[in-house]
Amino acid sequence: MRTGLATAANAQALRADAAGEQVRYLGLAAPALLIVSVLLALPVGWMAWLSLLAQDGSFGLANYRDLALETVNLDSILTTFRISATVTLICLLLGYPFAYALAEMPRRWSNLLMVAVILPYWTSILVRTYAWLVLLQRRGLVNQALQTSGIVDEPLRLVHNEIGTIIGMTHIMLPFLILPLYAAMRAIDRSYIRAAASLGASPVRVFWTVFVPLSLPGVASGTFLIFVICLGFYITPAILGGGRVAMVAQQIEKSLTLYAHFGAASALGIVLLVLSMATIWLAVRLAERGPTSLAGTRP
Amino acid sequence: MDVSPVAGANGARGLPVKVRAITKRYGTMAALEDVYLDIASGEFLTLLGPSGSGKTTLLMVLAGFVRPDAGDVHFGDRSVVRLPPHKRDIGLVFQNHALFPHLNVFDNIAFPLRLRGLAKAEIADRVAGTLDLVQLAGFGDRRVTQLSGGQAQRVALARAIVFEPRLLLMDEPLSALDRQLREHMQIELRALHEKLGMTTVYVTHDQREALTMSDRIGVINRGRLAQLDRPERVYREPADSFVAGFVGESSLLPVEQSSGTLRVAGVTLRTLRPLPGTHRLVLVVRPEQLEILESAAPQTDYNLFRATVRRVVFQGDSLLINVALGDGSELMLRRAAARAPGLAAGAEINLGLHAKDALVVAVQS
Repeated sequence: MRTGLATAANAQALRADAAGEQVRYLGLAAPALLIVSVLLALPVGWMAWLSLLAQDGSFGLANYRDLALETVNLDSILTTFRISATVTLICLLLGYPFAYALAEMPRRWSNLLMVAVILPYWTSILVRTYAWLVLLQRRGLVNQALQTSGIVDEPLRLVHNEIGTIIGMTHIMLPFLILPLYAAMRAIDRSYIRAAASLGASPVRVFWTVFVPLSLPGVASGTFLIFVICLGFYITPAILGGGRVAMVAQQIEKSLTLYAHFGAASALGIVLLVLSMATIWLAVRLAERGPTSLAGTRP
Repeated sequence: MDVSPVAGANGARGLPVKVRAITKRYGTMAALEDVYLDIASGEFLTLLGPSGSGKTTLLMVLAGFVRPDAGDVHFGDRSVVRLPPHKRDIGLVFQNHALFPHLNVFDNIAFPLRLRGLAKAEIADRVAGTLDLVQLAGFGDRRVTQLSGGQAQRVALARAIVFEPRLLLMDEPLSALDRQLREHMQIELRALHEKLGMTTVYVTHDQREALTMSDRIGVINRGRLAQLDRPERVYREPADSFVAGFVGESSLLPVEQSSGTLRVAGVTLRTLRPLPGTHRLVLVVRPEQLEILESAAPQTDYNLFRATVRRVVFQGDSLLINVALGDGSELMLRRAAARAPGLAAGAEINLGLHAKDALVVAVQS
């Protein structure tokens, strides 16, 4: 190569190559950007626009003012957060031991049991919700079993109320906890467990001082996913709540069918969206500030 | 901070270890076969062997993570073979250091002290003193993910010795480090051992590391202890062809026996060393023992071989010369680079092996 002569022109050509490469990579991302903007940004933007149109056609915050004045809306928001938090907590209490057992058993067995987790996950939510309706009703399987075994005298009211809603939602959401948690637990290097034991920690101490902290990234992603998905639940509370449980999604549906007005419903939708995003933001902040970065640091 | 956390640099700190008839099988494969081992108080013993030889299994039996099928292990006067790992009170250093990623350096080292219920002030003192000892003073607040490989291994060591265990087990602790750091850490580990006096069992597949550090080396092959001896003796008087081949860069040449004479590559072998009483024998030739002789004239006390140079490899301080004997068998010899000029592939040379150096051992298949 005749160095010195070609270097200046060369640098220019290399810069042009680099720029061209950037453009081509952007081109590869274009379909995804298009899908996101058409299917997500546009509808949400449209909803936000509708929420600002009052029933009389005027433009402003009238819908939000009405929303704030009606306690039934605020109640439904509180109910939504309460039910979501309860479901998340129950999922954690049920899912953690299950995921732990799966992670500790030989892979052959854990793969088999994993099918038990995933199969219902693939079944339609509607089907599972009706199945719970059948199981939990006054003369359903659960009440019959409880009565014949003498645990209760009167059938329990397990459905058409908040209890039924929580049972159904917990069943539907459980895989969302178990799957990420199981993956996180499997990824924990067994040498940490051995190191802790060699340093004098009994199995119980190893579990609480090493295993649980190292599984927290999985706990965080699982609980977080459940909570946010629960905020938008509609079918299950509608069927198992029997009209007595008013979560935000039902409230939206009600204001649409009752008043045939998109403005109020959209406003409630926007409030739910903002609250969900606030929750996500808060969770991410908490995770960053935690003792371990829950983003997952691995040596 | 001038507190010395680990007092007493005497031999009484080390726990003597007895291993008796330990056997461990996985399916039909014997990982350990009837192993007996006595480790003296304060001794630095290395278990040396290729991967899959059973050396780590033996270490894990000592640590309590592998339950043997048969046999016994004593720490001092006490049988520990049925004791779970957390009750054995031993320090253990892993190859991947296994520092808890959710704790910083201080909390990692304080971990065993907190388990033992020590007071806060004493924990702080001991951790600081141990960090001093491993030359990481002031690193307490670091996250373990910010440490270099050598630093992480020092923290792992600090964590394993901070509670003053009387037995320290190390499973290839330096194998992930680069060569220079590894050699530096070998000397440091050895110095630390002399200072603290705890009995140490060290597992490695690196024969040079074993020779450098150990009081004694236990060479393990296929679940059996092939030889247990001081480094010089393992090198100079290997028990069989496996030890001879694994420790040092030796060439092994088959020995033919007929009516009382031994022949190697067509040359009658003269040796001043004792012969093993078996039939299948090999001659062990160390690269530094071969001499290049000027003349082909027979000399007393020397075994003389005609050889052709195959390859000369420049290795900086020395030349590694690969030669072939008349029967095609190959040998390696080493020469100081400055002292062996003019050797090139194809050259015919005369090699002398002194009868004192002619070591014949039994073949271990």
